[in-house]
Amino acid sequence: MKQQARVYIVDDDSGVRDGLQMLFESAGHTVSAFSTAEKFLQCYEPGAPCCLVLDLRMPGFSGLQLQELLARQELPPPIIFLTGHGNVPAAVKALKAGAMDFFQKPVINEQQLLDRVNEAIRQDCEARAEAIKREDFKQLLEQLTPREMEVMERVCEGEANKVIGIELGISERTVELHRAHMMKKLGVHSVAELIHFRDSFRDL
Amino acid sequence: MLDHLPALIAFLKVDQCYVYGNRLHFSWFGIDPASLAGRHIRDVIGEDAYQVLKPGYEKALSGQDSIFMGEVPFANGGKRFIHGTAVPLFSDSNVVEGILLLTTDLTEQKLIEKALDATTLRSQTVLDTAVDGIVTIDDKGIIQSCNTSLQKQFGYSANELIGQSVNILMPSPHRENHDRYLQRYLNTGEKRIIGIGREVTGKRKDGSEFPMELSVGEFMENGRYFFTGFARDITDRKRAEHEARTRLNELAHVTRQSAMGDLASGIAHEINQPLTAIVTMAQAMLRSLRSDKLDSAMVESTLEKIARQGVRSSTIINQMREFISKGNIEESAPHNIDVIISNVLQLLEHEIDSNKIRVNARLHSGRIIINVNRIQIEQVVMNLVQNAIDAMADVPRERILTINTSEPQQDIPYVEVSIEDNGSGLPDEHERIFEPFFSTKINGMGQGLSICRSIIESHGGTLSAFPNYANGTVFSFTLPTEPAENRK
Repeated sequence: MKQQARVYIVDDDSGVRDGLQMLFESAGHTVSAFSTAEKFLQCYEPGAPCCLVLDLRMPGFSGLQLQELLARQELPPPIIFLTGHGNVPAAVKALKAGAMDFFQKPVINEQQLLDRVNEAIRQDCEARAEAIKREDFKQLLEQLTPREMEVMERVCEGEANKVIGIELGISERTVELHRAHMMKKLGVHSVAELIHFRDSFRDL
Repeated sequence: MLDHLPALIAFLKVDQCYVYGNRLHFSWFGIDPASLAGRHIRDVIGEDAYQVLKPGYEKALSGQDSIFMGEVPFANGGKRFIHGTAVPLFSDSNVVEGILLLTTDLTEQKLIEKALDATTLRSQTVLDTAVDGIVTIDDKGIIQSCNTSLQKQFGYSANELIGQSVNILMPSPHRENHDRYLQRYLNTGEKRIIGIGREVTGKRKDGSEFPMELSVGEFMENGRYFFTGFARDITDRKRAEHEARTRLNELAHVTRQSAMGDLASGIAHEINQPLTAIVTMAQAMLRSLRSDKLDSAMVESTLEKIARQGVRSSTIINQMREFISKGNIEESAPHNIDVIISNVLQLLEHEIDSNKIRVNARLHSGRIIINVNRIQIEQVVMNLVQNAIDAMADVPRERILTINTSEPQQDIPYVEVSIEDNGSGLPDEHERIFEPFFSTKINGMGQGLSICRSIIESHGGTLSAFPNYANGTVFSFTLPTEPAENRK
């Protein structure tokens, strides 16, 4: 998965851009560098795992504005900000808006930056995997009938078939049928599996 | 004959009763002189007057002459200031037979004298309480009189001054030349200070000097010229002026410093960029070297890039150093205004970009050379551009900064520069923006435009502001294109 990941650099300064590109390439990353946020957006592939290394202060679309725009996506890419001057308020704003990290230029300890980029890519890959899982799970759930959903909720609460039947006003036998269908559709074989499945969905 | 003398004359017997009184008795006491004989003098002159004069009469009766001078409260005629003489009249046997009284009325004279005294006293008081020092000299420069203030100002007493030449109050070279100045005036009548007044330096007794404002008046007495000098010590005023000037200079410096502060953060960013590039490229090279992935082509191209970034930082630092070096150190020199404007725009490039401002620079001045202090003019342009940027900060429409320089024309001896924005526009108090301490900015000190205007005016140009066609403001200044020595 990591091999397909891409590091995007957006910095208006060509020297800085070149330097960062060399650095990330020397660490084995695939790098795409852009001078403006607009150019980045034209080439950005939301489908692939990545990490953005953004200059906070850029002409045109600023780093913060780009972050805001990307945050509206279903899977916002992780962003590491670089800034030339100790702009604390902007840094705080960036972090609050979900930035992964924040480095001051020049980055004295480049290993730290590389580590954070790796970490960001790892998290992005995970998030994408989770998203795929969630998407699969959503599709499974959509196959359930409303009655099967009701039964699933109650089974997860630990209610006996008999109680579920009384609550839903159906016979115990019918509950058993719904339950069997629901378990089959979701591909689980035990109540424990079912609960785990549902919980992991909730966590997503 | 005695009747016509302007004095009161009376002969008294030893019992102080009248033998004779002259006609003046009628006008003094309303008594017919013919009816005086045998009357006691007390009845004629009144009890009060008699009590005053009685000792004199008695002295005369004892055989001695007596003189009285003073005020006497006479009956009927009121108070008179008199000079009275009482002389004993002796018989052949040397016995006092009577007295002769001769009385002159000095009342009027006395009043005149009194009035004179009062006037003199008042004048003297006025002179002495005057804040200004006042000195009167004759046509040889010899001090005739001086008031208290003058004595205090110069530290001399009146005794030390009167009779001396007034030049002891002056420092060299006036001290030596003053006699000549006086002589020249007396010969030519050419007034250099009389009736004009000017600032001169005074010299105190202790040798110290002080600035004073001197005005001189002249008058003639008995065919001779006299001169009166009014000297006002302006040490305090001078000090205040000096302080104000120093303060303004400091403020100009502070303003520059704060502009520098803003600029410095911009420049810090500018320098930090190439440094970041250098550091990052070196880090990348080291990593490749350590992992044995470094080839010579990469080394070459990277080192070239690093060197270029190094040169770039040093260029920025030099530009900054040039800008920081105080404006007044550099003398006027031939410059081209378009170049100056381009330099400023370059310095402010980051600011302009980050504020998303589109710059229309229509620089048409060609190769016209103006004689200016470059740093100062740069400061003006920078200030005006900075103002324009600030004015457009809250503008939702496209922000446009237009800078024009005029094309050279045959009979126009100046170049005109206009800096236009489409920002928030001028405040209502339009002209006040050039006043020191007037500001529409929250943190403004109100120095920028007032300093800009004085810089432009010191170059012989003008700076004005007016509303832009649709929105915003136009600042426009002119600078003479002729060399400074051809101006005036």
